This record gives sequence, structure tokens and C-alpha cells, in this order.
Amino acid sequence: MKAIILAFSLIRVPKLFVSLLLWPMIIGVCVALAQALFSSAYFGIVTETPEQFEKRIMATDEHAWLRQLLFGTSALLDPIQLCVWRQSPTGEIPPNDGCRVQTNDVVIRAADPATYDSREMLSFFDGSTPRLHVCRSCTGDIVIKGDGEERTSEVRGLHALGIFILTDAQVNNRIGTHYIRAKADIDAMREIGGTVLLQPEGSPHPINMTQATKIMVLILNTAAITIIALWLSLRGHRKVLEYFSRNGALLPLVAACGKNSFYAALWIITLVRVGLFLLAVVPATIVVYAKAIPAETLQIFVGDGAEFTLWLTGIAASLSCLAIVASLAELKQRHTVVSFLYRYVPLCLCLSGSLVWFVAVFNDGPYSELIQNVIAATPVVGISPILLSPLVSINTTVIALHSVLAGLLVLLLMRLNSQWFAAHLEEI
Amino acid sequence: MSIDTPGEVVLQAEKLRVAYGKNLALTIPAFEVRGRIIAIIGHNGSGKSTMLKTLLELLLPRQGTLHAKWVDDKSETRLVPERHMAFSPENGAVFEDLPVESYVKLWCRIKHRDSNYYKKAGSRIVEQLSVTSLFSKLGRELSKGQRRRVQAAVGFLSNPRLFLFDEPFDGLDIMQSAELAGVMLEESRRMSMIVSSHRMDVVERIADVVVVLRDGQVHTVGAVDEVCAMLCGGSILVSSDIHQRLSLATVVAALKAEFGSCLVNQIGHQVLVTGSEANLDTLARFFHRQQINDIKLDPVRPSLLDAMRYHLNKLN
Repeated sequence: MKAIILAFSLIRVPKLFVSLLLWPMIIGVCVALAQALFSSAYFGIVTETPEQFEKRIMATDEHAWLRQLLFGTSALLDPIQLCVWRQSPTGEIPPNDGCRVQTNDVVIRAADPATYDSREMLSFFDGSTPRLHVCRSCTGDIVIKGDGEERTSEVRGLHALGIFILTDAQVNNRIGTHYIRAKADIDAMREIGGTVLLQPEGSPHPINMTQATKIMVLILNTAAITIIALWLSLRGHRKVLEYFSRNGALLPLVAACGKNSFYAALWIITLVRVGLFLLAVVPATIVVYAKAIPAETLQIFVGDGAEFTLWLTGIAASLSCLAIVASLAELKQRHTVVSFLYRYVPLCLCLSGSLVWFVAVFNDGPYSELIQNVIAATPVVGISPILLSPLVSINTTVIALHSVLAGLLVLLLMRLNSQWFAAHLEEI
Repeated sequence: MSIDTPGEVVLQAEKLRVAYGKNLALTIPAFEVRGRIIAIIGHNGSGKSTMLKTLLELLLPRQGTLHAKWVDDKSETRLVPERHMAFSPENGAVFEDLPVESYVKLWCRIKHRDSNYYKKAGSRIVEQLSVTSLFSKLGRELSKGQRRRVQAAVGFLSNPRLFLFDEPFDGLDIMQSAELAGVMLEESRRMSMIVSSHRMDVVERIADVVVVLRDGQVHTVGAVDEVCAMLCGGSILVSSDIHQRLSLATVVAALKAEFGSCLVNQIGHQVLVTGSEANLDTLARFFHRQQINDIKLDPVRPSLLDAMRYHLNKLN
């Protein structure tokens, strides 16, 4: 009870509320939601049907904000007017009064305007600019120089928005039809190979390479949310301790509240931080996933609920070990010159484990499977195989063993650390 | 108007050993002291702060126990840090980026579940320590003395049975020290205090029991007079006639040469000699040898400052 009062007393101080809770949570939620939205956009693109693709491309053109900006309308402009300039005794002049250069016109400078083949340019700019001038020396918002086989174009935006004409020409629906055709061709080519399965020599299960990228995005998303939650949790601990010790308030507060209550209050603040973060992120992520991810991919990723929960527990426990070792070992050894190395020790262990595991997966030796399982079951060292488990189908028992061992290691580390804090409170 | 609380605190240690790594900081085989204001004095590194932190259970003894009890005619209560004690550390602990009022409210909320306690029952202490005028200031805008006042105020607001002060007068000027000492004396009617300090002048005024630590061990315990006597034996005030005033400097030099371990201080036209080697007999013989006869020797109570200076001189 005292711990709850202490935790909420601290949180109720506006300054502490902002620095301990609000600000890190805003950052965490923004990062998590940004990556969920990014993933959603990615899945939206990679999984859309040719019809959806065509609709999206055409919709882009229907709501062309660039044309709205330049011409006050989002509709395609009237058919482009070609103005081929000619020489007169007073100099080069447009063919008629309607062909005088105006804002947002495109000018092509050619050595001989009369013989210049403008069909390609007309097609490109049609609908995106009202006039296309072909001349030797006239000027406009967009000036394209050079023709013939060695054409080099110099494009100058003479009024600030003029440059957008080129962008609009590149995305209008005529270009869109090329994209639609290309997409259909690429999809057809992909269909030829069917589902690609990779069968490494040392692995009992094939890897679905067709789904690999999508699954990896989901794995990275989930791992990112876990890592942010851990960051909030560890930073919470460190930040509260550092904040109090920097202000010299740690000892009076601990003395006034008791060590147990004080630590419990730290955990409560941490749990509130992580809880609020998960509360904000998890439902949003689930909604995004449910809307954007194809059922087939989701099935491979989630499997049955129990396996997914086991996997989630495994990576949370193992990443916790990784973070606790990295963060608290550094804090404990901060007076030594090489204290920063502690940050990288778990990372090195993890990389070494991954390397050996990959070698074992691609070599069909007598102990290959045993080595894979031992590494995958070892906390911290086997975090990569566990992370990749939805893709490479790690044995459920191995994941369960990894989760249990990592969980025990987390408990042991926390116990050791709380003892260390109790003994070195005034050194913090 | 405060109501006197009957009773006093009793400190007890048994086979106590406290260490920082391999360095033993405190070794007390057996010890008991009781009082309303207990002062702990000693040289730097003698174990004063360690003793306070051990009592607060911030440091865990390697062996043995140190605890405090509240004893009155009717009962005896073992004091638990989080329930019965308050602590004002050496570096006044006020959050740098919080207004003082928020900090005081935080403590009131923690200790009384009422953030406005300082406006009600606690208003007396806030006014006594002139903390109200600091409410709008941020912690980092406070002087060292102001930080001490704020920390002392939040400690008193906790209504502890035992308030532990680590160097409370450090950074305070004469007036501020006197004010804080006055508040401590006033509050000692309601609670006990343990004061670790180098300010012997203030300690002498407020403490009813003094504990002298030396190299992590209890050297002397007792009332101020007893401790002074134990530390230095006593002081003798040497007075001379007007015609001999000019030779006082010579007398001081001669006394220092003769009683090397004693403190010899010239105070106006008199000389104060503190130390167990300089008693009435030895001084009378000394002046006789120097053929200075019209001298007056008066035994006086040594100040705690002189007693400690003598004690520390001997240590060195």
C-alpha cells in the first residue's frame, strides 16, 4: 500500500509525471505506431490485386493535389497545345497570339523547331501543362534543352511551383497505365515459380521464401514493440534512480519509505509506463494487422494461439535478459574504463549464437540438429533462432525451454540486482 | 503549541561491523546511549555518516546490530526507519527542477497522504523555518542554507520519533545555525534527534549526550562536560597583571614549548591551556621555574571545540 502511495505521489508531481511517464510514452507510442503504419502500408502494396493497384493508381490521378496547386483543378488539363516558334525579321516569335509563353508552360529548346519531333514530349506532358513550346531561344517555367540521340535535358523551374509540372507528368494516369501493365507482367512472372520453399540441409523444415519478407516485417514489428516496452521499463528504473540520486533525494526517500516500498514503487511506476504503452500500442497494432495482413501470412506468423504466446513469452524473456545485462551491468561497472563494453557483451553473445546456428542450419552434420536446438534453447545466445521461429519452425519444446530458462535468468538477475542496489544504494 | 512527549531514544549496538567493500568503517562491540539530542562527533572518516546510514538500514551491517528504541515510563518501542525516523542528508536533498512547495507537498503526501498537511498541523514548522518564502523557488535556486532548511522542514513535517541529521549546520551562517539549533531544541520536546556534525559550538549548545567516534570505534560517550573532561582532562585560564601583558607572547611560546601536546590559546590578556598534561600543579611549577610569580591560574570547563581539537591533535 505504501509503495502504491509513493508511486502515485511521485507520478502526481507534474514535472515527474512528464519526465517519468508522459514523454517516454509519447516517444514509444509514436515509434510503435509509425512502424505499424509503415508495415501496414508495406503490406497494402505487396498484397494488392491488379484491380486494387489500378484503382489506387487512377485514384492518385483523380486527386492530383499537384495540379490543384498549379492550376486550381485536380482534373487533367485540356489536350496540350503545341506551339512551334518561327523566325521573323524581328526575331523568334510564337505562331499565334494564343501561343505566347504563360505561367506553367513547358519550353523545349531545339536547334531547328520546325523539324523537331515533339510526339514523345506531347504524350509525356499532355494533361499536365497547357502549352508545349518548341523554340530556339524562348524561355518558360520549365525549359528542356537538347535533342537528338545525345539529348541532355536541363530543367529549370522559373517560378517556384513550376518544377511540380514534371512531377505531375510522371504520375498522371497515362504513366499509371504503364505501371499497371508492368505490375501485371511482374505478377505473372512471379506466379510461374509458385511458392518458393528453401530446404536447408541441416533443417528438418523448409522455409517459405515467398512469405519470408512479409513474416520478417511482422517479426521485426513484434520485436520492436517488445524492445520499446523493455526500454521504457529499464529506462524507467534507471531514470527514477538517477533522478533521485542526482538530486540527493534517494537516501532520504528510501529511508522514509523503506527499501522494499521504494523498490516496489519503482516497479509500479515501471509497470504503469509499460502498461500504458502496451495499452496504446497493442490494440492499434492488432487492428492494423487484422486490416492489412493477408490471412495466409497471419496464419504462418501466428500459427495456433498457444505457439504464438509461447514465442512471444520467449522473445520477451530473452530480450529482457539482454537488456538487463546490458543496462545494469554497465551501471554496476560504470567506474571502470571499459564499462561501455558491457552494452555489447549480450549483443556479441547473440551474434555468435546466430552465426553458429546459421552454419548448423545449412550443414547436414551428425550433430547439426542438436547444435541448433542447444543454441535455440539458450537464453540470449539463441535469441535469433527464437525470433525467426515463425519462419524456420523451431521445435515447440525448444521454444518452451528457451522461455523457461530465460524467465529464470531474468528472475535471478533481478534478484541479484536488487541485492546489489540494496548494498550500494549510496553509490548510485 | 507543541505538547511534550515523554521518553527518549536509546541507541543500542552489539558486535556491529559495517564495511565498504574491504574497508571496515564501523566496529562497535557493545554500546548503549540514551538522550533527546544525541550528537555524534569525530574526525572525517571516523564513521559518523556510516552510523546514521546503518541505523536507517541504508547500509547493511556485515555483522551485528544497531538499532534505536523509544523508551518512556510505560513502554519501549523499537524504531523502524520508514515509520519512525526522518533523515536530513549531508547534501540537502531538494529536487533541482521542482518548486519547493511541490517538494513539500510530495513529502506530505507520502507521509500523511495529505498534500496540504503543511498548511494545517505542519504550518508551525514551516513558519518557524521560514520555508514559506521559498515556496515559489526551484530547488536549484536555493542556497545551501535554504536547502538545509527545506530538508529539515520536510523531516520535521514527517513527525518522526527520531530525526537524524548529517551535518545540518554545514553551509549555514551564524544566524541560520542559531535558528536551526533553536528549532531543534524546541522540537526535541516532541522527538529525539541524532546529529552528526563538525560544528562543536552548536553541538555543545544543543546536545545532551555526545558520542565521539575515532577510526570507526566509539571512543567516548557522555554528557558534554563529561566528554570534554574525558577528551582533554580540563582547561586552565592563566591571567597576569598589567605590567606583564607585554610578555604574554613569550609566555605563550614557552607554554607551547613545555606542553607540546596541549592547546595554548591567547584570549585577550589571558591564556587558555587545554590538555591533561597541564594541570594546576604542573602549570604552577612551570611559572615558578620561569620566575613569573604574580600569575593567576583558574580551572575552567573546556569547550567541546577545544577538547576535540586537543583530542584530534593527539591523534595526529
